[in-house]
Amino acid sequence: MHSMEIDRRRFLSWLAAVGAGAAASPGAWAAASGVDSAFYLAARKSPEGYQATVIDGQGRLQLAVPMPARGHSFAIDAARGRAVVFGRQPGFFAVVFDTGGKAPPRTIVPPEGRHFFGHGVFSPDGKRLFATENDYDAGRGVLGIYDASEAGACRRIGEFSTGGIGPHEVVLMPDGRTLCVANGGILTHPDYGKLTLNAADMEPSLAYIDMATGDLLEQHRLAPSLHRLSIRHLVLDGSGAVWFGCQHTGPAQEQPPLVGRHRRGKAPELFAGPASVLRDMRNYVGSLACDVSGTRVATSSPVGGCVVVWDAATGKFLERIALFDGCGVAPRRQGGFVLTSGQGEVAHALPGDGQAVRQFLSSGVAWDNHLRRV
Amino acid sequence: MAMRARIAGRKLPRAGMMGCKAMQERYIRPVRAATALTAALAISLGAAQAGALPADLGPALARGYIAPAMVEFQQAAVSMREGMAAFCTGASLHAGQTDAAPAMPEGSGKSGHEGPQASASHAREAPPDALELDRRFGRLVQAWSGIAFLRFGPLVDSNRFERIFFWPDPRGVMLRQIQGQLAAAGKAQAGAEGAGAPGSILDPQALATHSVALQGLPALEYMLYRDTGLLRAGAQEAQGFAAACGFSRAIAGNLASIGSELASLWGGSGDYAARFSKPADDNPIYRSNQEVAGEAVKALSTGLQFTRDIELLPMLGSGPAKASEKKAPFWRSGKSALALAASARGLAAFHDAAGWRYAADEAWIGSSIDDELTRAAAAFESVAQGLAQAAAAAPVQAGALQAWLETEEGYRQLVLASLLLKNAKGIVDENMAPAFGARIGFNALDGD
Repeated sequence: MHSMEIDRRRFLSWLAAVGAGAAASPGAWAAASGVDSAFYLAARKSPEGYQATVIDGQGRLQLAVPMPARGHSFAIDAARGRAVVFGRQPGFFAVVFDTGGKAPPRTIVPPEGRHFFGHGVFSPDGKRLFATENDYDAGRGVLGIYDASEAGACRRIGEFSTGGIGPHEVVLMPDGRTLCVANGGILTHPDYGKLTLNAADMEPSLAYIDMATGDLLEQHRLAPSLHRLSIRHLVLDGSGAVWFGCQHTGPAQEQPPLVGRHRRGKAPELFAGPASVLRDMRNYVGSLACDVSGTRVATSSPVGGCVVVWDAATGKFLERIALFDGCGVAPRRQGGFVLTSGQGEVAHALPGDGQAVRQFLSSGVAWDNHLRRV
Repeated sequence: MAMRARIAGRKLPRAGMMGCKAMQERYIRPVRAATALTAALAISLGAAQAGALPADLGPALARGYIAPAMVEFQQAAVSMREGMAAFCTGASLHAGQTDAAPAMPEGSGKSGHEGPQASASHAREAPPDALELDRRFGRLVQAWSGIAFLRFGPLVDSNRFERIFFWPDPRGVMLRQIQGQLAAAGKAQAGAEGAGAPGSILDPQALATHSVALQGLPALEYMLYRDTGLLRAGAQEAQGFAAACGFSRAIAGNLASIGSELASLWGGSGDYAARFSKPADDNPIYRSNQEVAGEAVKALSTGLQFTRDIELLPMLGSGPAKASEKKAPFWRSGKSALALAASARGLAAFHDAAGWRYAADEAWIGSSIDDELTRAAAAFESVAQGLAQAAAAAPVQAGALQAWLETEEGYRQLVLASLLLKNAKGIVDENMAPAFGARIGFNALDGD
């Protein structure tokens, strides 16, 4: 356990160095152009270190919050203008910050024996924050529950089982009460980074959990032959169906479908698309987004260097957009998608265009896996 | 690009120039603070390349390294199985008794990773003793280390990797399952000799259907080297000897049969060897020589990462006082250093076998990778030899590496090796991959 102690020490010294209120780049927010009022959140690696950032649709920086290590994704409380960035798994920190840079950031440290997997959500009233976490000595997935009310100071007040191992992304269902969790099925232990410890016995699932009671309302597994297909990322389409993106951890020659849709009370459906497109995705989906119309779902594959767009109603393949190391994807305000890459690129993909049009290239910057619209 | 790469190459810190303390501070970090090991590192292809890919890259790797290394693993497993059988029944081994090994593939020779303990005799007259079985187990561990980094295709398919090597196992799954199974098998067998009942873990075919934690090297090592293990004095007279023997023979048999599948898939007429050797548009796995190169670079990079981050760094902890040999693979049998040396040798031989043709101004890349790996292997070998000398003619025991780690010089040697592995991985990722058009993206490198 010595290593976690070191992590904590390092984290605390980072806190002291950063100071409580100095995290936001002063004045950066004022630079907003006002042309496009949509803002996006993304973690990145930059010459200044790891940061959680707010950018506009053209990739211009509005706010940068320093982080002690690599970040992953965000929980967003839009009504109160705040967000939480989670450390990438195995994550030992999260930072709550004001997306307008108007309040000092607050840090969250998971309790002993837990680490973050990188995703979380707020309850609609902003009083609770749920984070996917690893109870790593027991080898089970949990949702950490944090009191996100004003008086709560983001204290951890409990946890729910996710009904599986390695929960990755969690989303809030349209009813405002049910959480949908992607139990990736991959057992990890922080002593060994992200190494899969249970390749032969993986059991990924999609679980619906009542956020008030923790009750496991509904759970779905794919066919047993797909037990190495890790369900990892989620997004809701306009009809309220859950779309999920998978990563296949089995042999490369197996190329199972990587994208699926689930409607409550029914069996999950998988969509393969054309064989050549499936092959291009290289058994890997890194992120999902649904466009503003709610009818088009984008799935990115940084491994395959492409973003694939699907028709939400039929599950039909629509288009493939090439972007080297592209992973972050979010709905563009005027239709289509905003994409980010590990090579510093921010690009737009207009519907039917079939290509990524570069908006901004920040040298020395690597945009991390997820891009979220505020 | 070449100029930048060269400068980057020169900037790489050389272990020899740094003091031990500085190295520890800079390089010894627990894995959770270091770059996390990715489950599936990926290489994106298509970037401009300066080096030329050898036209016969796939065949060169398959015939020059992979197939012979798989055959060596298979033969080492057969030798273990035979040794176990004779040891358990008290029979003698004869030369003619050795199971026929598959024909060595064309062009195969010494795969370059066989250590001093690799020459187990097949012609012994006397029943093998504990020392002989220890030698055979050492050969098997080394042979495994020579193929463990080939974690694509056959080794991933059918959970072969996990069946051979269910490790690391931080929650002690293997121990728990073995103890439960042994208790049950002991009762069922009630002292009877020979193969177990159908479905039992004492039957090699049935064992293959049991949990992966029961099937491979860590389980066999536990059965041989635990405090009441088969290689301990007096084991033959101890209660439960028959069940322990039956289970260990089943594991060795299971390993031999997995080895035979691997050797066959990678052999001269093997399915996977053919795919790897003949990239084409209609090849379901490798469409181009570039993709074969990507697979090879990925194997090197992830193999280096596994060896350093998973097998080596956890044992080093944050300093000699925190070092723990029990975090290393094969600590029970005292073969951790031997395994690490064989990994480094194997990676170097795999890199050599490809015949990478670097552009003139990038030739340093290949020689640096070779150099770092050779030096890392030498550092591990020096530890292994030190431990062997201290043990005199007896097998190295568990605990010997621990004592070694607690000395400043011993610890320093392993720190040096970790630095060399880190450098080698840095060169593979940052210089070798781009040189052959296998640029590794930030998100693709370490996805989530």
